[in-house]
Amino acid sequence: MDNNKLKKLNGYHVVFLVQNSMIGLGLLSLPQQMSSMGYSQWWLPIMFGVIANLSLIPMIWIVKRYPKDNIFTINEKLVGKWLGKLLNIVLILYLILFISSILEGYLDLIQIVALPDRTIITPLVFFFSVLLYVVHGGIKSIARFCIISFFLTGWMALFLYWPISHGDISHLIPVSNFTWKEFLTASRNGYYSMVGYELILVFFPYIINQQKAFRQASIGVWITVFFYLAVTIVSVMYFSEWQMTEVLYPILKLFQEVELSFAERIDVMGISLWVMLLLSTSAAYLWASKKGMDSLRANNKTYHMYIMAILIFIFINIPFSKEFQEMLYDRVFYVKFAIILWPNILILLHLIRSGRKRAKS
Amino acid sequence: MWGWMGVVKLLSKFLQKKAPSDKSTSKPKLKNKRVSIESIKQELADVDDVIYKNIRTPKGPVTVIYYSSFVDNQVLHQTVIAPILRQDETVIHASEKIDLNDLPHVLSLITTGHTILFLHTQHVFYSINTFSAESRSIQQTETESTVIGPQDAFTESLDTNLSLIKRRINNPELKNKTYMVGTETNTKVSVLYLSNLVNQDNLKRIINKLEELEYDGFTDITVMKQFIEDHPMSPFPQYNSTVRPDMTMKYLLDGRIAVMMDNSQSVIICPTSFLELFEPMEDYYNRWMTATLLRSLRFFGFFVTIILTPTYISALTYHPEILPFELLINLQESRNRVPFPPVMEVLFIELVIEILREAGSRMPTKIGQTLGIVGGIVIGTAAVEAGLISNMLVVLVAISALLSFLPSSFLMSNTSRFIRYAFILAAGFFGLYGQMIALAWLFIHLLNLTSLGTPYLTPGIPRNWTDLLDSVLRAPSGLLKYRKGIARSKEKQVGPLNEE
Amino acid sequence: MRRFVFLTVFLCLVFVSGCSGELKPSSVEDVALVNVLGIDYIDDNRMQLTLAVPQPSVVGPTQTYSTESSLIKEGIVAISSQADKEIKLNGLRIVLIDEEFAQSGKLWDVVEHLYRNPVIGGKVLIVVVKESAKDMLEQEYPGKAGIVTYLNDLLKPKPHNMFNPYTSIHDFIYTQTNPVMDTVTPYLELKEEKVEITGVALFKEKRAIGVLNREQGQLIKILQGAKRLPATTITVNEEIQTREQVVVDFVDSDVHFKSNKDINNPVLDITLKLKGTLYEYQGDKDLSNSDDFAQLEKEIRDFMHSEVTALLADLKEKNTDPVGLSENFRKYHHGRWSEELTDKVTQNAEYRVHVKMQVLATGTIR
Repeated sequence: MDNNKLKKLNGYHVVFLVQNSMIGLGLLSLPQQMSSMGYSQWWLPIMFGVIANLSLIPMIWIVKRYPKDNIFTINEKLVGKWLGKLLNIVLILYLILFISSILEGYLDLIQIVALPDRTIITPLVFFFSVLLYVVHGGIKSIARFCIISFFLTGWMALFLYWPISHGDISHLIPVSNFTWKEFLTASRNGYYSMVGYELILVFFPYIINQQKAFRQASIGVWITVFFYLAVTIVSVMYFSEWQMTEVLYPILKLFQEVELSFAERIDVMGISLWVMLLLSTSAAYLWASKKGMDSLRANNKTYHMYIMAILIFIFINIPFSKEFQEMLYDRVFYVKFAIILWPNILILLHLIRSGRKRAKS
Repeated sequence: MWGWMGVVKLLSKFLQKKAPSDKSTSKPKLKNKRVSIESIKQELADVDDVIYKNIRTPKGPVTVIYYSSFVDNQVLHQTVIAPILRQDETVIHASEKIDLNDLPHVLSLITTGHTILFLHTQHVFYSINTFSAESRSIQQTETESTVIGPQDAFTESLDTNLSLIKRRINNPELKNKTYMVGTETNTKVSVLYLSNLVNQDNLKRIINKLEELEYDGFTDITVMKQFIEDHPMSPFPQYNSTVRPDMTMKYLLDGRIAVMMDNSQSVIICPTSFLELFEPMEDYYNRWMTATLLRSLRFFGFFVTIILTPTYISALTYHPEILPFELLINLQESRNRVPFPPVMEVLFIELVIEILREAGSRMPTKIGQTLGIVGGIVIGTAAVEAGLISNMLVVLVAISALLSFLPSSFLMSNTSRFIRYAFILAAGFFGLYGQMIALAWLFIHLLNLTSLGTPYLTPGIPRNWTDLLDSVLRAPSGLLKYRKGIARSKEKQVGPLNEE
Repeated sequence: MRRFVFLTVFLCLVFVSGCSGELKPSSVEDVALVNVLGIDYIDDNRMQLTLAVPQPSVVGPTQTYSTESSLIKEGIVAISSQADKEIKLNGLRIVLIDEEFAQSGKLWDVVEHLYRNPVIGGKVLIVVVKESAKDMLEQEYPGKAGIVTYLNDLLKPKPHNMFNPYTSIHDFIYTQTNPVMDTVTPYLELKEEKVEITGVALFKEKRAIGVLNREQGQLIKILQGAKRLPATTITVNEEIQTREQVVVDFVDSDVHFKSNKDINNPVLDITLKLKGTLYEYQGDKDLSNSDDFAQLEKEIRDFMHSEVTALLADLKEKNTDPVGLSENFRKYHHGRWSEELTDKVTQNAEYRVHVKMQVLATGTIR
């Protein structure tokens, strides 16, 4: 069986792994995050796509130099063993924090929309049992699940038909109606939903055709951009600017516009089906954090995954104050930013190191 | 948590490995003995249908040994006794001379219906195949019947089954390797494949599995199938099985492997994909549009049947707002007299349906089964009037029971019955969210399954794009030019068999 | 290991189902799903809240509950103590507002409260009622299956009701918060055991300021870009001798706006393209004669032109804009758009109305 080979991800796997680890909770509130730009926000996803694609270049460049190592081992090799381990710990903490933040956000939403007067714990336990089941199969199982969850959820884009027919296309112009400050706030908040593609730093060693990985990852990024673009354009058409700032989860309101004779409220179904996207995102991240743990302990053990899961579970259930939590999740942004830019520093270190080597020989 | 691991390991050990024993059928004590009437008699003591018939011939006495239950008297007389009495030497020439040191062989010959001749004067043993036990004639199948297409079905006799295949594929590339399974029963198992098409890895895998099989005996091939599947704990059947020679032939031509067992009617086909369990042969006999329609009905029916009644629970318990209000009023009306929560209501009526089905399947004819379902509806109506369940639910349960019969594989239809309960419970806990979690679980499980090492969910995730032409959609036959990706056949394109 | 996870999930489901005694909070028959919510004005702080809960016909007619309160939530709590079941707003379909409440400007708070409630859908209709919403909900309607079904059927989109703006919660919030638009809602009147949609209620910012009749409502829909409209009676030549009456079914309509992009000197070209078939014609013209036919077309065109111009003048006078005409200036404007800019544009705007009318067929009459 092909489970024991190192190289197991084909092109489709890479495309959908990248794409599905990006789309998750972020899409639900994307138009609201970018609402400081008002109606002009609709083209922002395209810009995000360009930025993401550009920042992919150094990532791929550095991992191609170390085709058998993931980011954790590259860190140790380039930064030095102890500093590298320290960095990896920070990275793992970030991953835990990130998974907790999206899971908590989603389950809060489920509690509000679909399961009022239920505690969050039992749905969380069930979510985790399924999550562990995916991650258990390894990266290939996650990739396959990403493909399936894309097809199980992607068709929901058809629901945008109703809001489109209700909306006003003239909201799209003027395109450049914003100030620089608004633009920066919107990009900073909106780029939250773009992260996820940096996981290629971890699963790159498993890709069969590493030469084509950049192209495949870019396709994944642009599929995401397509969905983001569709949602933001439709939101701009459908909402007034006040609504865009006030409505926390615009997609729910878009779904509410759907008129079907056999079902009144598609939003409840939609938000429940969203669990597929959440599962694929958090599975990819959990797997990455497990890999980090593996490299810290320098061995490959299944129970690392359980340790990570338990940590996340505990973290979600610690009753932090709302302000602290928001502050924390807000700060996570800078870590994300750092991670996306980190490969550039690694390239620098790599060049210095190889330069030194050449000088020696 | 780890405790469960232990239990599972124990279970799988129990399923896969029995006490190790020598693969050959011989027992060590037999090896030392020489073949003689006495030793045979000694070994076959208490086997009362062994006949030792002494015939006097001018050249000396001859002893004829055979199983009376396997050998028809007339056959015996015509092929053995009459020629001997006529002193016709051909019978001796036509028979096989036996090595006197190989007593186990002699015994196995007798137990498979051969007749042993012992010429006292020359002190030699000969064996003649006189197996002529009664076997069923080729009949129509009741379990996989079609309106159009060939009507013959496999029987319980391996030779007949082989002939049914070989008369369809007249080609020396069609191989059938025979293995013995069952440490006590010595049942013949035949592995069929087209050597120019089959994937050697697949072949090696299935042969390994068969050779490693250690078990007393298999009552049917379906039992053996559960031993050689990749994931014995899964609710899903991972090999296709059929009693139709045309279906077997179709998959053989696709580069798959068929395994037949003596004394069992069905044949297993491996590797197979999830979707292929929804595809009866009739799909290929129908026009492609009809076939596509029916096939999508079957496939989506599977998902509807596991999701219909759970959705009822979710809607009534957690999300009444998703229903149109006219429907809601009707539901309230019919739910008004029911004292249980919807989960209990659904579990109750689903169990009633299961009971009816089970009882119906013990009734003599297929009509019994139909009667069972009709009876279910009658009981359902009475239960509605008694205020035990709502009438809307009876409709839903009846639909989902009917839908569960749609998959062409009976095992798959049983699986859908089972999985539905998981969905019902999940819906009872968390409504639609629970259903989606269960759906995710189902898909992950399906994604992790393999059939003979190939992913089970192709072409959901296609190995070849051409697989999609023969998936939920069945493209016109002329377009089906490529073998399925799952077969990993040596020749991708469908063409003349002997191209070289 | 996979087997292990599979088994745990399955066994969890099986074993925990044993606790299903407390599995269920409340099922659909234990809740009263409010379908229609009526709000009447009492004074500036208080309102009369009336809830209509549909019931299965075997149980009895529609239940209505009524209470006085200052907040919706408070009212629901108060009503829960009279109701036999748990009151839930999940199934809300229609909100009836009495005219006085709509004029008081408090409607925004109520609708915003509903809009923020995640269990309430976005398609709940907002309707203004002439006198009292409570009376309308408590009135008996012989021959009708109860007020809830009656209202729901009445407010369903039908070909002859296309003047109705069908204002949902989303539309209400959208038009209220969109600076270029003002809200219109359907306007109902209770007329002796019958409910009639008599027109549309017109809002200026948060307050209702007037009622337009059905014809005007229909013109607003045309200007908003509705494609299909109901048959309209058009009277040309008011004088008794030459009086002609035509019933035109507008099968297709299209509207184009072209602004001069100047908010200080706003000029807006409005081009209406109408296609219609004649249903009925009363008059002296011979419709098979092409000259007469062209003449009739022109007359209809002139009629539509004067109607639209009159409506726009009326709206200008009331200083409200349900069509969103100033959107055509906003989209060329750089910077934040505000209510003041809308007012400025609509007050100064010069509207040039062009009507293109094409009669496709004369139906079954010669």
